[in-house]
Amino acid sequence: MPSTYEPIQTTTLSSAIDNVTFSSIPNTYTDLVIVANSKNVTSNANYLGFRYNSDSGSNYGYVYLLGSGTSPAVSGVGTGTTFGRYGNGSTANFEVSFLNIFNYANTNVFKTSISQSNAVANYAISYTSTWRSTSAITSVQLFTDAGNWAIGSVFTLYGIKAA
Amino acid sequence: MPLLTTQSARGFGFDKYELLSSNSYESIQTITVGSTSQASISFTSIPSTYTHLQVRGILRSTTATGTAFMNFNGDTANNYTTHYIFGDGTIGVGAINPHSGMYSALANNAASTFAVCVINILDYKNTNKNKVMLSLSGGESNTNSGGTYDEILSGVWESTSAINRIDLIPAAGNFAQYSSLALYGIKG
Repeated sequence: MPSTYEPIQTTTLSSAIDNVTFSSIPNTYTDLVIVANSKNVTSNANYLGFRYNSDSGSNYGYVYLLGSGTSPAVSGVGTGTTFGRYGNGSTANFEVSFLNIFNYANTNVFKTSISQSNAVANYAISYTSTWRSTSAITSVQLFTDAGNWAIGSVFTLYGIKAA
Repeated sequence: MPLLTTQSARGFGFDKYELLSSNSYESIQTITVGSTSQASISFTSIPSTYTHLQVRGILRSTTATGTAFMNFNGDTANNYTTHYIFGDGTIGVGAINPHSGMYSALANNAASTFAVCVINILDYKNTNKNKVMLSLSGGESNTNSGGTYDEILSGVWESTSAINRIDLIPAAGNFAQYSSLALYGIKG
């Protein structure tokens, strides 16, 4: 059987910037995965945001589940927002975030993603986000809600091809 | 599958992301629901040539939001246990023990909106272990009720049998059109 989990593009920051865009994403896969190993230089950053196909309309929503070492865990929702969410805004360490985007080229369904991330020494968090559009995703812009990402932050896009 | 080095998984060595093997993650089968809804999605005759299995995809129910049950090898006796935590704006936790299937993946019901899942089933053919799975699942339907969840589920099948079949069954109704699950094999 063919191997099916393939790296498409990697961006490693050589200067501190606040966004990264994967464009011209081929439609030859079933799912996409974005792995981020990022650190923010600003202490008031809270999350990584994303937009598909440059859509900045109120077409996104999210729900999250967060554990910080205190009880109970925390959950929140945001609806009618202008971007999806994943990841954190850690400044202490390079954190790890995995974003799974499902059926990104399927024009019959809204696009939903799920992510898991850590903010080292702070919390672990899981997000589900939906983009209320049936358009095929051709680009993903990632951005931080405040400040810049530090030099050395790495963002990799993978494609998963189903049989 | 792009398994990460231990170093990078810990958040160190940010330049160390790498593929351990580009040939270790393979697509086995994909099932997509057509215009006629389905009471279940079944992967049968699963080969024994992998170390782990992963099921991932999108699910929608024809009637109501709920978490689909998963069975192995056609076993519908009370041999399964699930523990879960979810967030829908508030926190919920629970256990299903024992039960005829394990909670595995959300299927929501909002129009055009499909819940998603990544289900990892470990050491599926090892006849010395009961079988365990970890699932990450969620759905978001532009409301804080009725289809907006983010959940983590862990389950065990109290059997040492090698897994050769997986069935997913919606908690309510049928799986709606365009629901789609793909089964992957991960080599060790």
